[in-house]
Amino acid sequence: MKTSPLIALLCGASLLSGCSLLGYYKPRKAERAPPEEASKVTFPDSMEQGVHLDGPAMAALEVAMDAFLPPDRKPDARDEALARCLARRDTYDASVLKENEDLYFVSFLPRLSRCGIELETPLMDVGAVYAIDARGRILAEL
Amino acid sequence: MGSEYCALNYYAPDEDAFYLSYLSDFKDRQDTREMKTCSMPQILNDPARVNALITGGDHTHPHNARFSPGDLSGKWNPARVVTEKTGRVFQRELFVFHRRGDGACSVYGFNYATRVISALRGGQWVQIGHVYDDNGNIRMFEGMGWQP
Repeated sequence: MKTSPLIALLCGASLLSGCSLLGYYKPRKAERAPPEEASKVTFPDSMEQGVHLDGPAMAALEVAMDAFLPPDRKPDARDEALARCLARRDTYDASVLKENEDLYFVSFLPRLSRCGIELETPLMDVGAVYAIDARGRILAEL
Repeated sequence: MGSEYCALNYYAPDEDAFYLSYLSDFKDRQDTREMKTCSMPQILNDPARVNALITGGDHTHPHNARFSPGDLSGKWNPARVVTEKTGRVFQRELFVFHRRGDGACSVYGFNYATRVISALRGGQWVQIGHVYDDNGNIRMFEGMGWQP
């Protein structure tokens, strides 16, 4: 077959880049700052003023974000700046509401102004609200 | 299943009449099976009514009858628009339409100026709640809800 080497090359390239064409992801490793930057960080003595999420809430948030913006989602918008903005996870503000031990609601709202974008007319339904149970299943979305 | 569509509604001062634009399925985010979006058109193309005033927009929800928080957290400036010819003031409104599996239709309106949500019930607009922040959070009025 003449095409075999090409297919093998494409498959290899897609695996290397973490492409999901074959249903495979390579999780991206967090970027590390150099030691000189690390040495300037002073850790707080208390985290009390921080945002606290219990374990199940954090797990629900992770499930919801992976469904909402999977790592392989292709940016798709009218222009490059908006596409880049909508594809970034830090564009979205998140809220987690614990309804009971077996039900969490997770909401994502886009803040385009964070990307310096002000649209003349609104985008409909580009955020989402997920209902997630304690097993990490998505029950419904709004 | 289904698609979401956006459209503009506008006022023609010369005729004292309201119009609805064609429906648009233009979107800035890819649809999934469960989640649909549409982007409100930015430009009105009606050469016969060049002085038309955009009074708001409409969109459909294939899956849910109610507004999403994203719908209610959005802004559409200016929230009030004035006709130069008559001085008539319009408050911009967003409407959402949904058709249930059994064929029943529902319509809700959101006023960008007052931030009040209304439901169309028995041919009358009934105010049901108020959006009190820019996260799209709603405080329902006493005894009111999404269902009649």
